[in-house]
Formats: sequence, structure tokens, C-alpha cells
Amino acid sequence: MDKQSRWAQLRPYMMIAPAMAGILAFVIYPILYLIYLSFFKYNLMNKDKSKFIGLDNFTQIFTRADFYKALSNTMIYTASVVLLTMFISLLIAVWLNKKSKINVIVQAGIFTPHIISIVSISLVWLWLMEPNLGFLNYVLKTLGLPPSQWLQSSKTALLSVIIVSVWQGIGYYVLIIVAALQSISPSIYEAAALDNASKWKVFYKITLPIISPQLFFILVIMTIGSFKVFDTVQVMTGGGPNNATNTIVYYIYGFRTTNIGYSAATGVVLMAIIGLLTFVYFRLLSKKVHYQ
Amino acid sequence: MKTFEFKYVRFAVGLVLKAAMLMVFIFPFLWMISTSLQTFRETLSFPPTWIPAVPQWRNFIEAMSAGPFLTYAKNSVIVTTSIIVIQMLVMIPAAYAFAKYKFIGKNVLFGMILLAFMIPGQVTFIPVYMMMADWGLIKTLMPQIIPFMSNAFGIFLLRQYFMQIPEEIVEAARLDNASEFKIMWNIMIPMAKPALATVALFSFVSHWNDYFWPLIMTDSASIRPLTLGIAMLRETEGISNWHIIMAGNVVLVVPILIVYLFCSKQIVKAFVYSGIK
Amino acid sequence: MKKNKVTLLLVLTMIISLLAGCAGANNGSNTNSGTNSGSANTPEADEQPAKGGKTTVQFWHSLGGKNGEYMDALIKTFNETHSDIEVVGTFQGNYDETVTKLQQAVAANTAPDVSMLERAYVQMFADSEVLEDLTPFLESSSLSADDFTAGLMGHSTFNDKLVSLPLNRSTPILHVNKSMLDEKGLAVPTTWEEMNQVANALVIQENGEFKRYGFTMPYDTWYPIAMISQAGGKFFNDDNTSIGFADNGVGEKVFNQLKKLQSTGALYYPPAQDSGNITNQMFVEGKVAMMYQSTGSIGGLTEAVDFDYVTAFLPKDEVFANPTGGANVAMMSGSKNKEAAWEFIRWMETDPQGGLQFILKSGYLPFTNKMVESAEIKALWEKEPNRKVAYDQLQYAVDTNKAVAWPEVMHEFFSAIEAIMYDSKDVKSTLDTFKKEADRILAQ
Repeated sequence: MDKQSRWAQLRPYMMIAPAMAGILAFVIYPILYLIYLSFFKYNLMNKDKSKFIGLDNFTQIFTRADFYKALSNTMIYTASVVLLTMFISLLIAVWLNKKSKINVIVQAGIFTPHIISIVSISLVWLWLMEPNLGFLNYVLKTLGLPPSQWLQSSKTALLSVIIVSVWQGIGYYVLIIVAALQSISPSIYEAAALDNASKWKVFYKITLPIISPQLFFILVIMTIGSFKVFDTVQVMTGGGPNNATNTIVYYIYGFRTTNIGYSAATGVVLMAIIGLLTFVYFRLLSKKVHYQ
Repeated sequence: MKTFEFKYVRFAVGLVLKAAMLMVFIFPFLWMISTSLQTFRETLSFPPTWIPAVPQWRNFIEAMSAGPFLTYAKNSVIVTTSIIVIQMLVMIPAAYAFAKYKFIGKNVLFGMILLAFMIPGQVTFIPVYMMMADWGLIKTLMPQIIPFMSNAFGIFLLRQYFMQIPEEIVEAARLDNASEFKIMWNIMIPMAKPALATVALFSFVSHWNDYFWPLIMTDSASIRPLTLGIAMLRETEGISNWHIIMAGNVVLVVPILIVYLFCSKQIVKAFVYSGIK
Repeated sequence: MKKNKVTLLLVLTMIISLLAGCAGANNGSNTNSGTNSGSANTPEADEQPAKGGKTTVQFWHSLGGKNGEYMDALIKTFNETHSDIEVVGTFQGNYDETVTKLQQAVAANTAPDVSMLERAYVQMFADSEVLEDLTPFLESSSLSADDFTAGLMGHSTFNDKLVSLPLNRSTPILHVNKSMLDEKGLAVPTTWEEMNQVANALVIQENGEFKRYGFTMPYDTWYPIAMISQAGGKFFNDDNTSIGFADNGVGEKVFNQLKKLQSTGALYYPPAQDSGNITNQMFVEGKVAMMYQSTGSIGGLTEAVDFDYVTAFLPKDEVFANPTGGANVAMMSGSKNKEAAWEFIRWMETDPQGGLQFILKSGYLPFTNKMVESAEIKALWEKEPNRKVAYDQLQYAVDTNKAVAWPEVMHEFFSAIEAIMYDSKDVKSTLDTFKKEADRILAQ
């Protein structure tokens, strides 16, 4: 009996052991390594040439304008992508909610940007957004609107990257929200119809609260995904023009060859920020769980 | 009568709008297919050519004969399927434990999983490469597989899913003297199938399309996946043969389309929570 | 239900056995050679230790596409003519990616014996003391640095050590749509002044939109650096303590010239990403009459254009000047097979069956004096005078961005170019900011 209860105590640890081993080896250990590197002007290829410089890398980070620029870009990017994607996918999902062949095809279609290589996507968008000959400005001009410089001006570049990211991500979230919508029992709507409630009221008072757990889940994974954005920036702008689209992960990656100590130090700062975010989410999540 | 006509018009307008929206999302896909069938000269035209004069099917042959593409394809298949299988084996018990058991340190350990979810490979690749070299694995497919053994997103999603499964079902099974393993295998996994399909599709898409990690982790052609074979079609300097590169990309995307068609129904189910309650 | 479980089990077993199979293939004997595709021009880059006392030399390069195939052919010829050495060539991504990989590989002791290295990174690697001094090897083969094309040796030496040799080298050159110029009775410009006139004369503007531009250049540091040298400046000052074009007004002159041309449509400055591709496309389509672009594009352009296409020297200001680009080849000092590695480098650099064939096919610049004098190159130039122009321009080659910290300074220089060319920020204050950043980096 005693043996059995000890086993029961150990069991959860045994079950999570493989997962934790993977995370220790491939996430926690690299983090510790980065912390070590962050105290050096490090020469990866010739360790004898490395110089211990204490906290210099960190003082440099916090005095450099481009770091703050990258950080604020990341924040703006994350907030915009999350809000826009959420809003638009909700709209489209409500629109495509009815079960029909056409809707299924359209859903599959808007999912395709998710699965084709980012290089193909970027090539097409670079052409569309070309300021002088591109299709988007052609449309704007036809509509009598002023053309935009899109990726070529630091005023509009981040917005352009956001547009492409939202466009790319929507298909997946529409799929999730449609599923959530379809899970609502028709009897609830029938009751509402008897009450003569307006469509908007039904949506706002009934639909939205019911699918809120799914929306919250989307919110969490989208925030995380956006915060570590890399690919889109790399292929669309390379962080430019003039750092206008430099995000924090791209910033870290940018220093990998020239100054790995500084790169590592920035990684450590990112980790601290992420740790904080994790904590906040964890709090929110556990609340959510109690609520259910 | 009037309402019938109104409905008819509404349907037609809706159809047109839906077709327009569909176009907004699939044009890069169409463009990719179009380019893969163009001649070199057509790829250089501006504004871009949309419909090739004569479809150039031999572009595909040219792309596939530019390197050991069979080896690349084999590696892609082995790496992605291994990742998915290992992730499943690691993820299911962990998610189950996090969802259904109480134990000391649970919050801290789960926090670590969330942290892992948030750290991108571009930040951690150098220490991981050096570790793989220390373990003598650089010449194998392992560095492309084992760093992904713990899928934090998957554990996170699956845990949420397991938590939705009412405690009574588990209790009832325990009263029937079912072992914990049996409960997991016979009750939890079948119920979580949609969630598992979601994770599998996600893993598949991201690892099948991954360029950065295999490039960083492999030093020789015999262990490389398709994405690197296709990247190799690109010129470093000078004018790239986009028709050939896009032919390669079309080949790359076909398996994903198949998996998507296969999984999308399951995914829809994954987020229909009411089915479980 | 039961059926599902059985299927699952079956799939699992299958995959696990697949896994086991693959692990076996990679660790044990050569079991996967049969599954490699039978394409003739690709060497099998297997990691198997060579049999029969063969020394294996690992060679990393950054060449994809057609040039990658030419490199594969070169390696194949080498292996066929050398019974005791097996060279394994592997593509490692573009130049930047190769550098990243090389750095981590040196740190992890998995570096190759020989590597291609983008010329601007040579100093950085040499400073970390991971490149072998090639001088003794040259001497042992009765060669000397003077046997190589002088204009391409700018990045080869570091602290009096010869650490790399030129391989796939290129230089920026003026590509001209001669038909378009002839139509207007214009001559190919040779000075900045003429460039201003010709480029402006070629602009076609309708309803406030540019239908045709005068000239273009990809987004790169290369072209502004070329113009800095042409205007009599230097990128770094002579002792590499600061930049050499801020205080003497050269930088302002260069960027003001570019901005002036840009404002009238005489210059089309492309988006940063994929700019080389975009400028090429515009040139081929006749949307732009002239273009600064790498010599590496000559082959593709010749094939694609349907007009009279010529190349010319970059126009001069005070002097003719042009930087060089492309990559060198270096031997890693961690190599355990230095003799074999050197034999490969020597053969590639000097054997008529080696580098010469690669140069003839790819369109990169010939890099030894013997090569330049060879009958094959002479015949090629006869047939394609555009390529001779590229070589002739090398007499004005000058590389002033040689410093260990160049890659880091380059990062900042790109920001300055973007601020000026895209955001039309004030030239002087942008260059002042750049100078401050560069000085900080150089002082480290």
C-alpha cells in the first residue's frame, strides 16, 4: 500500500519527465549559456580573445536608441496584429459560419497563406507594395486615394509588415472561431429569436460570451507568436528602413556574427521580458480555469 | 415572393464577395504555381506574367534534377514524422499530468513550459549546435529532431483540452479498477483526437517548411531536407531562376495540402468543446 | 475503435523502424548510397570516411543555382584527377549564413578544411586566428601573391599574412540598354556630370507617374562606397580609426548627387528586400535604361534581354574607382588535412581544368594572370566584350572598407543609407550620426 501511494506521488513527475528533460536541455541550458556570454565581449571562434566586461553589454543595451526602437516596434506589432487578426477573423468567421460547400472552400482558401513558404509570399507582396508600379498603389490611385510608400518609408513600413502578418494568420483563426461558433446549440438562438432580440444584441450578449474561452486561447497563442516574429521581418524588410521594422528577435539575430556577447545580453533581456509575460499569463490563465 | 428574390440576390452578392475574398488570400499560391510553369524570360517581365504562354512542365524536372532530391525528400519525411511521433509520446503524458494531477512544483514547471513556448530558435541556436557537436550528432538527423521533442504549444493546448474532460469520467473509470495508463490510453486520447490532430498539423507545417533550423544544424547534403534543396536553387549573386525555384516550392507544398485536407475536419472538432461536455 | 488502435500501433512501429533505419545509415556503413538520386552533376556529399587511404577534404561554399552546378562540376573534375584526395563540397546558405555556420562550427570543432568566405568577412576571421597563413604553401608550389590579379587581392592579407585567395569575385559595373540611348542619340556616360544629363534625358513621365527611369542600383553599400571612392574619399581612414568621407564633404556630395537624381526620376532606388531581382527585372523590361549592378548578372542579362546590351565602367567623378565583391577561399587553421586541402586550393586556383573552367562558365572575374592570358579567356572576351569591360575596370579597383569591424559598421551604414534614400532624412546630420556610431565601434 505504502509502495503504491509513493508511486502515485511519483507518477506525475515520471509523466512530465521527458517533456521537462527536453525543455531543460534545449531551452533552459541555452538560456544559462547566453547569460554567461552576456558578461563578455565574446569571441566565439577564439576564446582566448574574449574579454570579460561585466555589465557593459547591458549598459550598452539600455543606452542604445535602436534597442528601444526594436522593443517598441515589437510591442506595436504585437498589439496591432493581435487586435486586427482577432477582429477580422471574428467578422469572417461569423460570415462563413453557415455549413455549406462554398464556405468550406473559402475557409480552405484563406488558410493557404499559412502553408506556403514565406519566400513565395514575400516575393508577391514586395511586388504588390512597390510604390511606383505596384498593384496596391494602382488600386489606391483608381479609387482616388493618395498612394503610399509602403515598405520604403519608415512611416508605413511597420504597418505594411503588420498587414502581411494579419493576412497570413487569419485563415487559422477563422477556422478555430468557426468551430467555436458551430458548437453553440441552436436552441439558444431560438430562445433569443422568441425574445425578438436584435442580431447585434444576440451576438454581443450571447455568442461572444459563449466563445470567449476560445477567443482567450487565441489571444494567448497569438500574443506569444507575434512577440517572437522573425521570418516576416527577415524576408519583407530586413528590419528597415532605418530600423522601422526591426523587432527584438531580429535585433538579437542581427548581432550574432559581429557581437555575440551583446546579442546574448539582449537575449537575456528578452528572456526577462518574456518571463514577466509568462507570469502575467499564468495568473490570467489560472483565473480562467477557476472561472470555468 | 419578394423575400425569395431578396434572398436570391443576397446569395449572389455573398457569393461574389466570397469569391473576391478567396482571391485576396490565394493569389500568392496561384502566383507560385503560375511562375513554376513560366519560361525564364517570362519570370523577368514586369508587371509580372500571370498566365504563361506555354506551360513549362520541364521546370519541375529541372528543379528535381539539380540535387539529390530523393534524399532531401526522404529526410524531410523522416524528420517531420519523427518529430510528430516523439512529440506525441512526450506531450500526452505531460499534458495529462499537468491537467489531472496535483503535485509540488507544478506551477513552476508549467511556467517553464510556457517560457519554452516563447523562446524562438533564433536566440538559442548556437549553444544547441555546440551541444549537438559535443554529443557527436552533427552528422545525423538528430539535431533536426530532438530539440523539438517537447512541444510547448502542444502541451499547453492538450492540457487545456484534458481539463475540459469532466472529472466524473475519470473517477468512474477508476472505480472500475482501470489503471491510470488505461484511462489515458482508452479514454483521454480518443477524446483528445481533434486536439492531437491540430498539434500534428501545426508541427507538420512548421517543420516541413522550416529553413532556418535545418540550415544551422546540418553541415552536409545527405542529411538535409527539401527546404534546403530548394534554397540551393537560388543564385547567391546574379539572376535567379525563379521558375525553377517556384517549381521546387510547389513540390514542397503538395504534401502539406494533403495533410491539411486530412486534418481540417479534425481541427474543427478540436475547438468544438460542447462535444465533450 | 479497436481497428484504430491497431492502425496506430502499425504506424508507430513503422516509423520507429524507419527511425532506426536512418540512424543505422548515418552511423554505420554506407547503406544509403543506393537511394541518392542518380543525377550526374551532383557529387554525393556523404560524410563517409573515404576508403582506400583517401584523404577527405571538406569544402563549404555559398553557391546555389547555376553557379552551384559549376562548382559541383569543378569538384567532380578534381576528384576524378586525384586518386588520393576526395573533396566534399557542401552548400551552406548565402554568404551571411555561411559565416554564421562557420563561426559556430569553429567553436564546436566541426569546421571544414576549406571554406568560401565573403571577402568583407575575411578580416574578422583572420583576427580570430582561425585562417591558415597560405604563404608557405604558395612557396612550396612555386607560386607567389604576384601571380594573382592585383585588383582582387585587396582582402587577401591580414597583418602581413596571406589568409585567403580570390575565387568567385565580382565588381559593380554599369549595364546599359544601348538601344534606348541610341534612340535619343545619347552616348554612354563616363562621368557623374554626363550621368546626370543622360539619366535625366531618358526619364519618361506621364501624369505625374514615372513610366521610365534613367538608371537604378540595388540597395547595397557597394554602390555608395564606389561613389565615395570616385569622389576621392575613403570608407575608412588610413589607420582605420574613423570613417574617411564625413569631414571632407565627400559623403555629402555622394548622397546629394543620389538624392538629386532620385527626385527627378533619373534614379530609381528600389525597395531594400530583393532589390537585385527587382532592378534586373526593370532593366530587362526597359523600365530603366541603365543600372549599376554586379558583373555576376552579365550572363543572365545577356540571355534575357532583347535589346542591344553593353557594359561600361562606372562613371567617374574625380577618378574612376570601383570596389570588388564576391568571395575568397580560405584554409581553416583547424584542418587536419592541410596538405590535401592546399592541393585542392592550388588546383582550383591555378590548374587550367580547375578555376578557369568555373570562371568561363559562371562569368565571375578571372583571378590569376595566367588565366587572363589564356586562350580560352581571350576567346570568351572576343565573343562577349561585356565581360572584358568588367575585367578591365579592375585596374581602378580599390577597397577601402577593410577592417575587422567592417561587418558591424556595415550594419550602421545600411541604416544611414535607408534614412537618406527612403526617408529623405537630412544628409549631413544622418552622416554625422553614422560617424559617431562607427567611431564607437572602431574604438572597441
